[in-house]
Amino acid sequence: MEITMQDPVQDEDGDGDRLSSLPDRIVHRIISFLTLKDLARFSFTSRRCQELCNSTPTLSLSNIDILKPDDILCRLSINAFLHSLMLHRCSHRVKMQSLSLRWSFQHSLPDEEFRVWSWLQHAVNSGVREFNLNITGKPFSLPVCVLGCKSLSSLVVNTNNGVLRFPSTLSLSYASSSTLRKLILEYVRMEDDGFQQWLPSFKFLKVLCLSKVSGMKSMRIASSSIEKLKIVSIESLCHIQIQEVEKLNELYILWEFKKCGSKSLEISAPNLQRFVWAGDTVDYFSMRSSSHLWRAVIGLLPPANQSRGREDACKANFDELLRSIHSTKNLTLSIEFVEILLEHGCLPFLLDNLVTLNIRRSTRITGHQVQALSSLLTGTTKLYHLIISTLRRILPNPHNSASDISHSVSAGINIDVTVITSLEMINSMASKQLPFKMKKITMELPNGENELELIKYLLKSAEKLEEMTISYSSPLPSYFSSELTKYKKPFTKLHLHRKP
Amino acid sequence: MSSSKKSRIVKFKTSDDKTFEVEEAVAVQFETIKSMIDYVCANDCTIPLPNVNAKTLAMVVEWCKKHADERDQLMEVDVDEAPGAVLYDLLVAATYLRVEDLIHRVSQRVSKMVIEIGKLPEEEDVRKTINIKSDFPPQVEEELRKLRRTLGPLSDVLVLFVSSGLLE
Repeated sequence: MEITMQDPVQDEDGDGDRLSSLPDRIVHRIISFLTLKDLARFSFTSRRCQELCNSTPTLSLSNIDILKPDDILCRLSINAFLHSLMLHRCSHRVKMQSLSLRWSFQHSLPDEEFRVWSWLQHAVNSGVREFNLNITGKPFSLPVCVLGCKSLSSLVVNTNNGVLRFPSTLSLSYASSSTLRKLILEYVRMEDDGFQQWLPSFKFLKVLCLSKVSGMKSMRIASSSIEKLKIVSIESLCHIQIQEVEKLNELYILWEFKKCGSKSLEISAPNLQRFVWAGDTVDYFSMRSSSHLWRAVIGLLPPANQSRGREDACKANFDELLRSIHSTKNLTLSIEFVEILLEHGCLPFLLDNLVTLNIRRSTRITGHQVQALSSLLTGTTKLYHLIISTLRRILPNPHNSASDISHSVSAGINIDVTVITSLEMINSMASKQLPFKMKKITMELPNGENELELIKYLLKSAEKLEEMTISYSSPLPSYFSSELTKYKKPFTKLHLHRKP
Repeated sequence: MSSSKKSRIVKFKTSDDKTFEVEEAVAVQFETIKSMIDYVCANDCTIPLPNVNAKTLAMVVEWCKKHADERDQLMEVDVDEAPGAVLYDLLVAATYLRVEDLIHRVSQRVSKMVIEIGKLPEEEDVRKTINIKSDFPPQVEEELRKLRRTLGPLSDVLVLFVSSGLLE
């Protein structure tokens, strides 16, 4: 058991050249945070620094911080510097691990695109594993060499809403050598279906993330290797089809749109295990349910226009959704969505696999929401743990935000009235309904609220409750715990935590 | 970190010959040490750290302790106010013990230092502040000095130009 020291260390006096005496990999780490300009300056201080800069495995090239518009001299010098840097690396066979390129093609020189391509090609030749490309000012075509790269594992492309083109499908065969595992497209505009055609060819692709993509009306995602798919805010899109994804086990969809045309979402993922869906309600939803699904998170906003015919369609969609998440053991719902489900007559619904139910809310729960919740709970026959958690609203609610604000502004008396009426309602509900089965309740109280009535109601209705944990951030009134003790069953353990 | 299990103590000996007793919960954050904890505790060994002094080890331990319960916040302050020499010691220690998050934090901090320093007009100052000794051949040094004299503070463009020239 002997530890030996390979790295040279200077004395404590600090006179030595500390930075240069650090092992290469540490200095490389330090300079990986530097921008191109700082890197150039740093390389100017000593020969060793220059060598370190030339040999760094993580290179980040950018002309965005340096460039003054229209300054040709500046442009030339950046390009010349990078050109010689790349030449130097090439001739010394320096390995490259990651290349991050932030490039503006505004007022670019005629040969600039070609140069950038050649740097990408150079990176591919030096065994690059990660590409992070952020391009502005010009439609950008992904070179075939990047897509066919034999060492690449992660590719991130952001064109700042500019057009991104995939190479012609004639070169699809190059993708067969691709080792790409993770593909992230952000703020890109795709005007043809090049991406959809290339996608099935990446045989090792595990993670795909499409965020703020524009330009397409419909998208069909098919990939036999993909395991995790994330789709975030693709507003222009009308139809999403996720099919032929045998290995997909995690699906995350955050899809908000201002109403424009009909929207549809079709999912057929036989091995899905985790499913998250938040955003606006679509007009048509279909999901081939997966028996492996064990975790689902749903936070949909109410449908925008409530005409008569639409309501039936909505109900059909929600029924389909509930059916397809039937096998889930762990479910998280926003309280607003539970309310929507009740309004559309979808509750109660038998969810007899459910073990843990997490209800998320951003404000105190209204009487109507309690009603919806209790209706949901009657269908959860095997529920063990109910969690009521507080969180900031993930999505601003575009439909109700104005009324929400007026509601909270009028505060005081109004809210008290709803509490009183809901208390009566709650009591009558508790006497009528079947008792809840859960053994454990965890509840987070929102700032300054105590929601005593809701807690009492839960204590009253949950006949087999063994443990109730309440965490709160602002002080509770003194009568709080004595009041609860009156309602709880003798065998129920009560825990109160103050969270900092 | 279960409180029921009795926490074991791992002993270290620093480069300045001081013995340190570190709780297991902290020591497991040292990737280098992690796998040997069982052996060391069972045989009552002391792990020598020939390149980490007592002051630095105390900082690393402190960081790991805080880090265990409250991420980021605290250390931002601690690391940001540390002078350069301390940062280097910390970096060497963190690398040796393999405390990934600490390495990341400190190297990011040092990189800021390098950037700050890079902004000074004269590289003489650059070198002094980050303690870099120039090893350019005298004639290159002389060239650079001449350039500096004629041009005053180097403009951004020039830095790029000159360094691209030097590379070849």
